[in-house]
Amino acid sequence: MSDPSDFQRLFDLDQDPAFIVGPDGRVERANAAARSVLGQDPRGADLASFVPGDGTQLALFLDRCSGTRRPLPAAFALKAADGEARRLQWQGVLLSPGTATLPPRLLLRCRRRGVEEFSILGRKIEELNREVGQRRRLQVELVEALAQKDMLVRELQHRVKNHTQMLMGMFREAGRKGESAELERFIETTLTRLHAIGTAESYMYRMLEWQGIDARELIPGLCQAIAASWPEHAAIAVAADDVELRNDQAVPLALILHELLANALRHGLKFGPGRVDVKLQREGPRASLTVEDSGTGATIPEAERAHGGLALIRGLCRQLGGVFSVDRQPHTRCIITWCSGAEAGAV
Amino acid sequence: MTGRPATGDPQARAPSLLIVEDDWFIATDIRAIATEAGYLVVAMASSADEAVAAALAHRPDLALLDIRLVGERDGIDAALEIRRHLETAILMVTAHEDEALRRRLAPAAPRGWLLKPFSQPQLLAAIKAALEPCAATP
Repeated sequence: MSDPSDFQRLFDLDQDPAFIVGPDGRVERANAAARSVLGQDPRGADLASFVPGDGTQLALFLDRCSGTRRPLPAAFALKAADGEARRLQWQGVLLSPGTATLPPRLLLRCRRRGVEEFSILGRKIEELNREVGQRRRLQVELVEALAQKDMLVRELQHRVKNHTQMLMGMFREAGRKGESAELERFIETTLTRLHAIGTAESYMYRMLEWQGIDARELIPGLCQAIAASWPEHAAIAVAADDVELRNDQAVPLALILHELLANALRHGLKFGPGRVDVKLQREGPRASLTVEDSGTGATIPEAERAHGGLALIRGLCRQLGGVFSVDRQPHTRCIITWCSGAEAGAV
Repeated sequence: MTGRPATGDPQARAPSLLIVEDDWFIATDIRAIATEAGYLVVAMASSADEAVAAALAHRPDLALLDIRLVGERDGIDAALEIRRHLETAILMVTAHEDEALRRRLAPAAPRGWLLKPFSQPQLLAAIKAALEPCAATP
């Protein structure tokens, strides 16, 4: 490569800034990358004029490079054309020893790409770290908020259940005074209704599904709880389809079921043991609850029809947007139908 | 077991109960239901310390314990301590129920777990079932 222009072309192929300098720092050649960074051809200039500082460190580095063919590292900034001092990693090596007529020449190469890429990478890592930190803080806050919500729900559950129990205790205490049979009957009915409400509430909280309740769990659980409250046990058979109830439907339905079961046990099976069938069925958007007893179908007293359980059933049925019907042949069969789950809003 | 089972034998006494409940209305209601049914309520307590002291003093056949009590310790702490000293049967009567609580209580080998709100027949059935392995009901 005797042609200096060939050497320059080869020199220019290097993507990193590179200089060939004398031991005193005078620039003999600069490649294209170096010229691009400096915004000028520094040939003939003192390299120290492009390096911030008083030049002492650069002079020491050049002196050390003059004595070795093994590349030596250094870190200097280079004043770029835009006025910014770019911190670069340098490597210096003796390119050719001096002769009687020619001074020694040193090759200095700046690893711009590596430093800048590391710098960009470093900034990205910093940004990612900040984002990860923010996300972690957010996650901690969310976990704390969820734990607090869980604690509040548990506290609410506890209070509702305890207060229901407390109310039941107060009613029982009033009933113990035994002032009249009518009062005792009223208290007993209120107690079993409160128990039905409490049972429905406990299923709502147990499921913790605030959008809906699976009636397949609720109805058998209610039947079991209601049946356990009646000393005169009857066989209660429950069959329930997959019906989703909204939370605001659970308590009215529990009370309706309670009244229908109470009527079946109190009046339908008045003259002897029997069986009560409870069916929850789904037909498209509508659901139906059927309570049928195997008894002889004793007549419900007129006063109770107007003001008692039947009036309650009709009122709650309206609240559900449903329809109530009774078939008394051959046994008493009560049916309520309503729109279940999300469709109920259309009623 | 500390108590003798109540049988048809007129010499036998009714099974004795300790009620541990911090809510006064609920505690007195349980006492009234149990007493009407013929059980002997030997003491009532509203904290774990009171419960343990009453159990050691009266050695009841059955302790009915709520979980939330007055003071630092809860009904499970009380049940575990009672069972370290006595063979008193344990029936939890509480609004709480989850696997973690059941695991904590497991060393006390509870005879039942009655959830609030409960009806009178449910309470009596739970007491009867808890006493059944060792004693007849009154």
